[in-house]
Amino acid sequence: MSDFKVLAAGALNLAGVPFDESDLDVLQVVAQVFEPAMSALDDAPLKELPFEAAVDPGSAPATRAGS
Amino acid sequence: MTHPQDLPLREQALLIARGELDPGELLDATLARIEERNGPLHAVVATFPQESRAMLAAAPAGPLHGVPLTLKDMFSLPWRGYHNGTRHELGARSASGVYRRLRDAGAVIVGVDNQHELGMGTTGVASPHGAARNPWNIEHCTGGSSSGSAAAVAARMIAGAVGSDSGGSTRLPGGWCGVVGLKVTYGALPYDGYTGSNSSFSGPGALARDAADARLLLEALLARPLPAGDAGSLRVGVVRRPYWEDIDGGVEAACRDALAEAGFRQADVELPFAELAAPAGAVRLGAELGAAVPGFVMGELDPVTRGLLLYGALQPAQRLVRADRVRARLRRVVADAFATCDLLAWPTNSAPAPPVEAPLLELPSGPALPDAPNVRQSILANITGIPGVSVPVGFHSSGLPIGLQLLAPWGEESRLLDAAGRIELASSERWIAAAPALAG
Repeated sequence: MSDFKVLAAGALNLAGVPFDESDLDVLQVVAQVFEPAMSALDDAPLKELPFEAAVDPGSAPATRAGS
Repeated sequence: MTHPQDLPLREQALLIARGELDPGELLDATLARIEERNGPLHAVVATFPQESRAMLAAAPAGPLHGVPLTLKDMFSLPWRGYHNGTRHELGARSASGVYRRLRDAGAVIVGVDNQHELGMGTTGVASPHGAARNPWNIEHCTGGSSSGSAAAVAARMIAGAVGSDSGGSTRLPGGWCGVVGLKVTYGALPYDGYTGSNSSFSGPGALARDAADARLLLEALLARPLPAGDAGSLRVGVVRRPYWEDIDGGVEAACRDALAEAGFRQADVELPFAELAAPAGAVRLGAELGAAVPGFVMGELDPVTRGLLLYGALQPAQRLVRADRVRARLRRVVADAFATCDLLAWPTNSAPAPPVEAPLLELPSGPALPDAPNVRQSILANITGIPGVSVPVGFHSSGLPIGLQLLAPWGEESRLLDAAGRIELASSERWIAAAPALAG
């Protein structure tokens, strides 16, 4: 079993997420496809990214201002 | 004699209002058309003639009086809870907000459309009912997740369908099936009885053959008039990076030509942090969708859907916080952009619909699984809540349709339809008038 699968299986077990071994093969492919783009978030420049409590985009007055 | 489902939605409504088309005969003809054409397409997963006839009998006078429609399997009906692309009735049977709006407009719900399983994919391939098939070439994908809705409209099984869009799910299949696919502004109509009530990204949407039909359907959904305006003076912001990069050459040319032929004033617009919209959206959307999946469904899902759910479950919480910060910035970036232009524009899909059996996009950078390139093109509208539309703008050398995407500020669905109508007129309506061979 690859290092990725061992780590993924451990993390899923810790999180209590049910899976079987065949899922790990697909998970590895999904991660290979998405992880390069997703990991860009880890390097995002936080100084330029405001923290706003609201998640609902409808509560964002800045978006409404465009209409 | 013309089959009534070959008529536009608005003409069906007009003829019924004039007493020139019997809505009972229209209902029967529609059910027969679905029965006749659905086999290879897997577009419609359920019809319910008895309930449809009861709905017609009680239909009030309204803009869609007696007009048949289908719905994506994300909206509950009084006689059928939503299944969300599974074998199970996951939602309670109820008069969902979308159902109520359509019922009150006089419409008749005749069927429920196939969709990508749990809405977690952009091809329409994963479904317990079988992959939805593109009417322009049944060996190819429809797009998703509103796969059956787009296919049913393209195949003229129905003139209008209501889909849903959490990450491009009305626009992406609209583009691949050659129909108009429109996502409404977040929160623009009641979300009860809708899977989107679990999501800050989702909005219902209209799928129709052209902008005028989409307008009529949208007026019913939004319960307000959307008067047509003059699109001649609209300023279009063309966002080259990242949305016109790594695009199939035929798709890029058709989209570019459509904007030019429509005569819009164009200017390049930069959207800082747009390249982070897809990962930020995927992190939050994955968490929102994953949290709503009941455990008993997991064992029945397509392996890729399971893989996506597990990948979502493994995302660090810190990424979710970063994703929300990207989202906050993008709201402001988009608002700033709309201070200088009226619409944003780029291709709906990076490449035409891939084959069902080997769903890979052929991009200038090489072959790619569809979800990441598709979501890159579509998710800005979801992460900021703004409305968007895909408009047919031509056909690829493969014979498959091409769509151009337009985005507008919050609440400006009418502006999108004005622009879409102008594009249709500029092309002498040849793209929207075209019908696939099986619908000819």
